[in-house]
Amino acid sequence: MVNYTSKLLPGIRIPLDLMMKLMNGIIITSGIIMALTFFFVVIFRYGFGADLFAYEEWLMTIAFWMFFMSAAVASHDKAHINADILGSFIHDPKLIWWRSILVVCVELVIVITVSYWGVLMCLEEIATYPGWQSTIALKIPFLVPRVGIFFGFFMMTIYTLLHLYLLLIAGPETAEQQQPALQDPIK
Amino acid sequence: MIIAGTLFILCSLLLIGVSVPLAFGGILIFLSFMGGHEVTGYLPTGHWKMNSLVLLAIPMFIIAGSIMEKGKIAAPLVSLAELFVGHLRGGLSAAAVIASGIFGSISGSANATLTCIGGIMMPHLRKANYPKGLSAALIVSASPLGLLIPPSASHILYAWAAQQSVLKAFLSTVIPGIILITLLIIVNYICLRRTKDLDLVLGEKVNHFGVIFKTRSIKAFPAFLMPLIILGGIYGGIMTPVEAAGIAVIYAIPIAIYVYKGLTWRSFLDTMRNAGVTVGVVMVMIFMVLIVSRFLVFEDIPSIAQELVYSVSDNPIVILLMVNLVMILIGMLMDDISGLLLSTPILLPIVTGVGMDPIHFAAVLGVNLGMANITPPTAPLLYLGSKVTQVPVNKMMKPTLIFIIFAWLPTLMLTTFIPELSLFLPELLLG
Repeated sequence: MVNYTSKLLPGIRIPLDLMMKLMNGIIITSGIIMALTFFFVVIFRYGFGADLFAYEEWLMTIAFWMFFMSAAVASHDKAHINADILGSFIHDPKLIWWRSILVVCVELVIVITVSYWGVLMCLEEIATYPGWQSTIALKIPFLVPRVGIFFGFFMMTIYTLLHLYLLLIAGPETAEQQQPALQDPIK
Repeated sequence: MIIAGTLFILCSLLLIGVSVPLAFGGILIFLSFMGGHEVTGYLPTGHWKMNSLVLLAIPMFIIAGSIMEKGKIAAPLVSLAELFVGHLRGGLSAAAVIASGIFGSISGSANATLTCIGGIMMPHLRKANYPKGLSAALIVSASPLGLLIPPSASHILYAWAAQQSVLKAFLSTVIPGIILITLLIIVNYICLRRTKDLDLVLGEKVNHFGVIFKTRSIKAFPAFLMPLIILGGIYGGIMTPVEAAGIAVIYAIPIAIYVYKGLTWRSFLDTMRNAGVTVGVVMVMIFMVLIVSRFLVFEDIPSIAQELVYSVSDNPIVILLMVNLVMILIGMLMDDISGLLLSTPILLPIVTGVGMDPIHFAAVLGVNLGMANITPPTAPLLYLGSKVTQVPVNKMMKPTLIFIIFAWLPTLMLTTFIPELSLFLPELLLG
């Protein structure tokens, strides 16, 4: 994993690194919980003739947090899939740099807009309290997974900003290391 | 206007290099201006649509595939395949194709198949003087077998989106998968014959075949047990596909750590983290595509597309060719998961309108989107294959196109126009 935060001021770098550790923890723990839950669902069903009551309700809540934390980490790692068409034709470092700036700026506009929709979604949900939507059996408020969705997009915004900042301070000289064409395909 | 605008924005954003989920975000911004939709409805729609337990099969299969990939579970399978064909001319590359098919039935993931089989077979192929570009292209072209040979996460997704039986969708691509394996081996053999100054080092034919076969089979047994548990559990009605995917993860952990010793507990955590990132890549894409497809349905795009296609021709052959062409174009621009979720609501009514069975369409879609994974410009497997095999993409491009034209396209045409190839097994086993 490449550490993109090393060039930032400590005041920004340390919270971002801590956040990354937290998100990695959520991703690993959620993956293990999901697998174990399905394993125990089958064991309980055939071993004890029982079932895990309403497990899908808390499992889906955990899953949403995992999905969107992972998406944020994927933004940090530049792991999101893209169609690298222009990258095959552009070889001039300056053009590569300008193209990277364009792509990151467009992505930033989009992800800021989606994060704003996330804020609206959460505010609308909070406004309905105490009659807010919740799961049927365990009464888990929909706000919980929805905050995860918003937070994922928010962190994607932060990491997109980080990549823009790194591109700007690096300049066209290091364009080949920065171009979106070098984004990792999914592993 | 909305169709043209959507297509224009999607193509423009993808062409400049915006990532797929954010390109769909761009479409949503466009729809919010043009369609007059309330933007507060977008993300809750994604949450509602994605709040389904079935979809958890996708992260589970991704995690299981990653554990198997890092756990060196593929090595005994490759050595077993080599035992049968390794001593023949072109046999080593045929072993790579067969091993991809077998590993596909274990991992259900094209990425895991490519990384495992490519990582193991490429050094063998180099050592035996097989042409680098051709061999790397063959390994890449065979890796989507992980999507065709069940279980496959994309089939679960299709069955969920089209409200069809997961088991039938699984079985629909088995015969097309076998056809593809055969064609890839034949095309590769012809390419090898046409290569000048080829000095292949062929493996020696083993003397005690039975003994060696037994030893290697015992070693490969825990790996072979994986598809038996998953598919046996699903087909036997013991567990649902998503439960089977969870069991696959739990089974893969001790096998990778203690049996094949490819993982330690420390590297297991790294593997879980990296698998998680892949899950994020896929799931946020599904989230965005589900919202876009929902709002495209609101705009009545499926009916408009249906009318558009029928206005060109009402001949089923022409319509199916057009549908295939559209899917190839979709596949050239985006990955298989987004392509599948976008194509299903729009194209399914069109093909069922000309009498195609939805399970038959599952096979056509599976082959088409498998091919899309290796078709430039958006060819994640091609780029990943370049990394795994250490062969530059430009050296793989020509042979990959040869495999697409002479192996993948014929498989696609056969699957499209001979429904029995996809429907025979589902009807035989599931009625």
